[in-house]
Amino acid sequence: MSRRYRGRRTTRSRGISSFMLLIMALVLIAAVTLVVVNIVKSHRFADKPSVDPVQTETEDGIADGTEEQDGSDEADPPAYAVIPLTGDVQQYSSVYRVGDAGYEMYTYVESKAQTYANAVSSAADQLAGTADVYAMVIPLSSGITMPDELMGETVFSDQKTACADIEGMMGTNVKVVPLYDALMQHRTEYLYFRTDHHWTALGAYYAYCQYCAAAGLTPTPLGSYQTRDFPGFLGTFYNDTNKCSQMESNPDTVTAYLPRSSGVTMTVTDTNGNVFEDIPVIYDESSAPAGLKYGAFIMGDNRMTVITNPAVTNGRSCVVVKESFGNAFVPFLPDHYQTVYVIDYRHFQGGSLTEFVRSNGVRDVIFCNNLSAIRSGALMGDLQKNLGL
Amino acid sequence: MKRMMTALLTAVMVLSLTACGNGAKTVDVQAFADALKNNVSYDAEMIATATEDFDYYFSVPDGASIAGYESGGETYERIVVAQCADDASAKALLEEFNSYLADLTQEAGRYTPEEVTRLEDAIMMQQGGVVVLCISADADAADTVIKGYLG
Repeated sequence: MSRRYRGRRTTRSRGISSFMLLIMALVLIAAVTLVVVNIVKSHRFADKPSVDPVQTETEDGIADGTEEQDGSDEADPPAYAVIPLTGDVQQYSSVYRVGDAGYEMYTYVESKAQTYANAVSSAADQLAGTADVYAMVIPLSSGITMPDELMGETVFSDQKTACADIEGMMGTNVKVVPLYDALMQHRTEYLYFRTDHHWTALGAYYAYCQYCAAAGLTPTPLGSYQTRDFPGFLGTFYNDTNKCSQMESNPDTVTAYLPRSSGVTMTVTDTNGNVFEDIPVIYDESSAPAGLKYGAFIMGDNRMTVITNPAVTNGRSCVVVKESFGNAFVPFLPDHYQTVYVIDYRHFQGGSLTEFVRSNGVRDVIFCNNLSAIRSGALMGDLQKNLGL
Repeated sequence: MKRMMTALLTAVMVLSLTACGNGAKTVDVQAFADALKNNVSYDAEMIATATEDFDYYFSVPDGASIAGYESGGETYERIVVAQCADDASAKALLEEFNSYLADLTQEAGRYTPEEVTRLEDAIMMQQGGVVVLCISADADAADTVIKGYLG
């Protein structure tokens, strides 16, 4: 072997070695970065419940979505069913209509989201050690059941991102109850009304399952509820679309799930301060005008509602801080709580929320509000002012 | 150093010019709000808004004085009068009034349709550093009071 050859060989050998070293260094840096990112992630969400549902079929054939995944943040994004665009599309001032279904245009407003998160976090900080504070950010139908083809339109901000952003703004004392993926797993079901901006009781049920997972409660199987139907519902989208004939010929049906316990009573203080006692949690709206049937849930929006269940003797109570989306969610709670207080922050005049919680010995505070409300400066102002947050 | 001095002087001149351009219109915000309360019809009792409560709804500019009244019932009636330090901050506050009104209109459209007309007739005006919002049962009377103040 000549010196020249050895020399070249040596040189070549050094070249490979340097290259390999470079590769190894890069791999090492990538590995360290991954480890650090994972540590930061797991620390950041250490106290956040991981309650993304694993789909299981109940005996009713309805996916109950109540089991927990393994908590890994690295799981692939869940695959969602595709909803094709069928029917004519028309844009109104604040609503898109596809056939006989309306979808609210939505723009994420970061400043208002921060206001909301600050208010919830403030309540959680003030109540730390006294009560648990839960935050449920409810997406709109335009983020869940709207045909996929319209999802990229500029009038529709990405609601998965919006929910995640708002949830990420919450303080460490807030227990976030993630809803977006849970609802997306069921997106082909009747989760939202077509003629109205609200979710149905079925949509609220899946949120209730998520809440139960976070709060350590066992959700009641959907099939064990008695139901009441209120057909002929033509809600806000019907008005927003100038009383669209396609909606009129195919109105929604409000289906309500009755609390399983008998003897549940409800006292309502309306927006004018009038008090009504012994009202059923599912109010009979069968003879109500077509636009008011959503009022079946806890008799609509009121200043304050108190639901008591004498069949529950655990002394556990909760407060639901909500706008109208919360109405469909509340009827699932009395089976778990001796007392359920419902505060509509738009109308509440009872002073400080935290004082209310302390003076009533409340254990769980549930903020249950939808994305549209969380972008409204007027409503976020009401939330802060009326609850002292 | 020379450059820094030049930049500083330029900034001072720009600020001075901005101040000159504010317009001479200044008002006593409390008197203006009182005039709107006393000379315009409202369906609800109008209750004075605490100064700090405006911050829940609007980003009140630094140095602004603000006064107003709000419905003590379930109407959207409201009076807000603000005197801002300059035209730009008044314009920014007017934008906030616009967005506030849009939020209320959406909310009313859903739950209290009878309030929508009132909101559509609401009067908002900005002149110089003065901004006013009046949501009432009588837009014409409100307009007259506002023009009396702002011309």
